[in-house]
Amino acid sequence: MIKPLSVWKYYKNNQRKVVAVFLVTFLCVFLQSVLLAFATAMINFQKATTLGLVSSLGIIATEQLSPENRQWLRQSLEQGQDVSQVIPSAIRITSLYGLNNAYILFLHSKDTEAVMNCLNLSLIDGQLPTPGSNDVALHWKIAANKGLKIGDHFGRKTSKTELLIGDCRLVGLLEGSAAIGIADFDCPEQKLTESELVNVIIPKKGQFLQVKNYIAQLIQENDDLWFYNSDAEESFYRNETNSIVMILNIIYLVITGIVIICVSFLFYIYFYQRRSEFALLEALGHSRQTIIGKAFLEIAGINLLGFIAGILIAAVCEGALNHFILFDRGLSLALWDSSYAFKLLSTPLVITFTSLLPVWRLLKKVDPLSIIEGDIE
Amino acid sequence: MLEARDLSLIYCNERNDEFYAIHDVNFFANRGEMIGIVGPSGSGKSSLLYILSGLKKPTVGTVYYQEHALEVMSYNELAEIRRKEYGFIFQRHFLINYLTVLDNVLSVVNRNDKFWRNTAINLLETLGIADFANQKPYKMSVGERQKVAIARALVSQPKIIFADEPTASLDHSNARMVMDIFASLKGEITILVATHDDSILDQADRVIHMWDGRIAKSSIPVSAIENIKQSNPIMHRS
Repeated sequence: MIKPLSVWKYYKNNQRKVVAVFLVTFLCVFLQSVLLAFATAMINFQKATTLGLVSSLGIIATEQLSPENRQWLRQSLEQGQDVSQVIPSAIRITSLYGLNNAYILFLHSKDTEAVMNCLNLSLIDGQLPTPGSNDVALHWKIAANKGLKIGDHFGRKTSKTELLIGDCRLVGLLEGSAAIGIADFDCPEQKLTESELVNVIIPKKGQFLQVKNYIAQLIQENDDLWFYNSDAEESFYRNETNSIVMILNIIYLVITGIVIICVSFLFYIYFYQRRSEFALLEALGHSRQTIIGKAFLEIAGINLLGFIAGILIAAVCEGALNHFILFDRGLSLALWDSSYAFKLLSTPLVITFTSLLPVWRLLKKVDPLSIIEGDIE
Repeated sequence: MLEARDLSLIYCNERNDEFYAIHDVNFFANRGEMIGIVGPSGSGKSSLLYILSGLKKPTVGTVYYQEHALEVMSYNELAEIRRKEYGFIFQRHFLINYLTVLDNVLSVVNRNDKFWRNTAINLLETLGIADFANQKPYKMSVGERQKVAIARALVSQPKIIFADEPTASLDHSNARMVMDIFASLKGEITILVATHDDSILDQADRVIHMWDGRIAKSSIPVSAIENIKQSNPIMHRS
């Protein structure tokens, strides 16, 4: 049996008022949830293409080094006690649709497996590039983003907006945390020069930090060395993502601000209209704490319902978007991320608090007798 | 059961002139007594009722309920007494429009179990409005709404009922019925009725006449004297 003064009784008998507030909260949480999912997906993709390559192996470019110094560097690297393997390679970039660029690593076929193992990459479809060919294996997200299927050609010859020169053929799809591509070192279309060579340093298991420190020591010894280290990449990644995060936060705050004003205003009107009800309840002997508690539960309850509905509907919509559109383009929305919990929960909490504050002040000032006697006059 | 000593309620205007809404009033009510408080508008009868109920604090004097001074009680203690031991009927019904009649009656106890529902429905039947139990108050006439307010005052089985002009919005026959209900509760519940219409107080045990914030006189209604005479043959013969 529902108590006469219960929150559900109020909701049941005041559906229009409840629905109005519910819709505002629901829309707010829905928009914020979708916004977060989009932004997180973009940031994750950015992270995979930017940091993925340098988060578990070291890369040193030797562009400005003399042949003697290159030899010295190679020997120094190979002597590093935490270094497992030093692999000669080259790096080029390929364009991504609407996002950053992705790296393509040119490797000798004998070294491919070691690099893939180090980056936790696995072949999920097709094959790895054959030696001396223009074949490229791309992370499936890059391929999806570029709209490529196995067998498709891409490169500057196919599209003028493509950063990768020549004409390459997609032969395999990779999966893993690093969103990169792998091509053969002797790829005829690329015409790699000596100056483009880099050393890929594969650390022994669990020794990545030690290798980083060792490389840092070498760099101190020779100013001409250029190190693609993860710190530099992280700083680049942060600069890139900071603008996204800042815009996201501004949009987020604007939505929250508008909703706070709307919901607080609505609740204030509703409770102002109910002053005589609260005056009566206080006169009949319900304590002010009970009345304010009832107000709090009414406000918090609607906000919580709006929050739950917003999250659920957003998850369903995001899931549908992923399934029907985005997954095929390699940019599936991140339906859940630990950062969502705080951000999304803060919305109903802030709305409840800011709505309750004026209502609390209103109810505190309600004088039962002035209303009971005032109405008589 | 309820006693007031040296009560005064003083209002000050902007020039600090003092006005006595209640002036040096002493009052007592025994258990089960039905007392009428009559007087013209502005005589202080409503103020006295609200002071006695603890809803208003007197400027001077003290109210005792079962020998406990209300002024030393905390806000929550007073609220609990009002909820559990007092029943209120105001001049206007003050019903909650979004609740049904039954829920309005039960709003004092905020319970909806079988016992309280039956109690409330019995009261509504006694008042002749049981058919409206599941309707919203705005669909009822003013008189019917006032009956709901009366049922609400009675549902918690209070020890005292404070009724401020309870029959003001009722026609004569309904007013008579309400006063009959009050009379039937005499002996169990103390009933204080403030009204400007002393014709409805013929079943009261005592009537207090207020004038300009003071108790001008206290009288016993003729019908009450007749009742005493009937129950006392010696008085009847004389």
